[in-house]
Amino acid sequence: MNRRKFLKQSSLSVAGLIMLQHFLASCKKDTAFEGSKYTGKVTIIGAGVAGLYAAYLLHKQGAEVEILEASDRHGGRIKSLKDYTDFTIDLGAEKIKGERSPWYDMVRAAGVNFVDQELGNLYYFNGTLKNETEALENTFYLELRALLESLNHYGGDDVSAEQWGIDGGLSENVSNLFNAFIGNEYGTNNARIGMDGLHEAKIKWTAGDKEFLLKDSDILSIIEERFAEILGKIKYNTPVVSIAYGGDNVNIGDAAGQQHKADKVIVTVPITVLKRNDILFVPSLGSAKTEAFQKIGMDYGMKIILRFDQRLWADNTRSIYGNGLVPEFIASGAGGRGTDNILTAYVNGANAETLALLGDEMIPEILSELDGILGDVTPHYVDHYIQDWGAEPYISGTCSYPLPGIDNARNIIAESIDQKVYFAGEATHTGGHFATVHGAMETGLRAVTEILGQ
Amino acid sequence: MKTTLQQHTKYAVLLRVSIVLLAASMLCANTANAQLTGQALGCYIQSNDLDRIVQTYNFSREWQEDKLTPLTYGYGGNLGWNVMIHKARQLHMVAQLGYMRFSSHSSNFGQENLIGFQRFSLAANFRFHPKAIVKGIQVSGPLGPRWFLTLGPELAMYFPYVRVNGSALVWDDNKPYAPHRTSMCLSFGTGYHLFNVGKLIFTFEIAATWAPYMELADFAEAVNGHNVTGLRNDAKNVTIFNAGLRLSWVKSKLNWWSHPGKQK
Repeated sequence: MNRRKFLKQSSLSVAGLIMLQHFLASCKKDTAFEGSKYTGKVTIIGAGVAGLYAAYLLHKQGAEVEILEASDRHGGRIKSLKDYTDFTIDLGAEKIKGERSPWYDMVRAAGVNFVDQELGNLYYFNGTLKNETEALENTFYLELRALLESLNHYGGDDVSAEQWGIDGGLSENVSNLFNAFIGNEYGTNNARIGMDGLHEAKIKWTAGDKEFLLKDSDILSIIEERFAEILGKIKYNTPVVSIAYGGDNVNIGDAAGQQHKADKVIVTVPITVLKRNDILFVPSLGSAKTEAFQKIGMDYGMKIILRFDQRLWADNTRSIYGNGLVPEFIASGAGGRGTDNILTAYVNGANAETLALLGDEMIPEILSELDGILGDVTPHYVDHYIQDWGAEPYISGTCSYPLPGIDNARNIIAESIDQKVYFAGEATHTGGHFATVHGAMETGLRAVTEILGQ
Repeated sequence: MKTTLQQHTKYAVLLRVSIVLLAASMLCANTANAQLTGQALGCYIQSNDLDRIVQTYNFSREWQEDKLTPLTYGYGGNLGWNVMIHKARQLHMVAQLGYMRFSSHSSNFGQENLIGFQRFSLAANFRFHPKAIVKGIQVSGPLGPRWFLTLGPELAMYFPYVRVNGSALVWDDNKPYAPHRTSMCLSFGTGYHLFNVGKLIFTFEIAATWAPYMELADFAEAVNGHNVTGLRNDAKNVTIFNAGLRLSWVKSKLNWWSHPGKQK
């Protein structure tokens, strides 16, 4: 190669490299939706986790955010009981379900510890209390497990879960366990929950199968810490009674007669509020939406915190599944959370309604059930605290569940209207994550990405 | 979790790859004038739909400092045989197996996320010189004219992956997330034979591969943990640009490698 050729090729190479550098720089992509700021005003109805998360994301994008909360507190169905025991009790959601969600990543970012002790459940059926190993030696229990595992492949009619059990030949001996694993877990009873919705939830679930319990914190504290800058934007004791979205703006009327103007509104209230038509939409939402509300259930539910003067169950017990009105007793201090001897009766649906009707007889009834399971526990009872979710006026239940005939109701509810009214909250989750904290957050994300045009 | 997913076993994948390899071998074995050729590639992918999956992840985890970069740059290579199809028109075909890998990584609060996809392809890449293909050319090298265009179809298989702290994401029924999908593509490019060292020929090539449709099955769900915002795992009109150096081994030194100055 002669000198002229060398110089020519070298110059071309250098020019090429410079051009390549510019080309590559121009190819760089945004890591987030950086090109889609929103500077309008968005009013969010409800300061539950869906509303707070939506507000947080919008605030970060430059939007003006206002949150109208009907009650005197934030968190919705996330609530903590502090100073009752030597650890904080989650009165609402307490499990972190799945290891793949913004919620799980948010919890991890908070630097909290999870319970790492191996915990086990106890099952009371056939007149005896069994641990997992003992239960697995029982034919009825094995049949129940097999039935539950077949949910993935369910292809029958949209009957109730109870009917599914009957059709599957499930023994009466384990019907209470069956109700605890399905109906009570979804905030109701097997007799009320529909199979199509259950099956859909099972096959659409993509958050991972692990479950986590917080060891040294509570769910509300994590939310308050992350969304601290948003809490100041909440107007408490402001129940919304009307949303007029026919004009250029959205006019939101509260119970005190005040009007709140916004460019867009995100409605995150529980499905019970929508079912009852507590909010008047002008123009009306239409029959498709209002009929869809009725296809989703949300039942009465309670957590009854029982304190005992000694621990009457093994230290590594997570839950005790009974055979009476209370499907599940949660050993709330398990895994090193606390030393106080607490059992939380978790009961939903028809069972909760029955218990509530007992009034003052409710606690003796529950203790009587526990006597049958654990022996003589009543003498060790100290006191109790009741979180009655059904009695919370702006919530009226625990979590949403699919009624038989749900069809695509969640999709219909989730649809925004006129690019002004958006719906969020766990009941509007279309991907199987309803009745969860992460599901609620994800619907808040959906509303925000729609507003941002993403 | 999901059971309606098409969960293909490793064996099914291996079987398909084996069939492809077998077909390629048969083609090569029956072609006396085939030349071995391999290429190392740098790649760039353009797909707004795929970008949005990663952008949603970052947006929904605003508090994480280390963001995932949308799948942008990748690397890869291919191995194949150059076959002369028509001597007078100097039409060559490179039958090749290709590989590309695009990935993105982030580390937050002790959790390492690695996402991306691998792409295996079988291509029949036709090489030609515009003038030579019309009028024919007398002077050429063992791999055809020095400057050339390439055009050809590709059968591509996409294998998305999500790894958390070094382990594959656990998916359906405790199996790792490892789906794959197949689609057709069309590749167009150009190249220039730079020089030869003995029987080794160095060639620079640049190409764009257009996929009218490609799918990374359940990628949005695997990356984000949900797909409530309606992200698309299938993308239309995806283009992958690649550039790289090709090394070809020829059986004998012929024609213009000894006299490259005479070539156009």
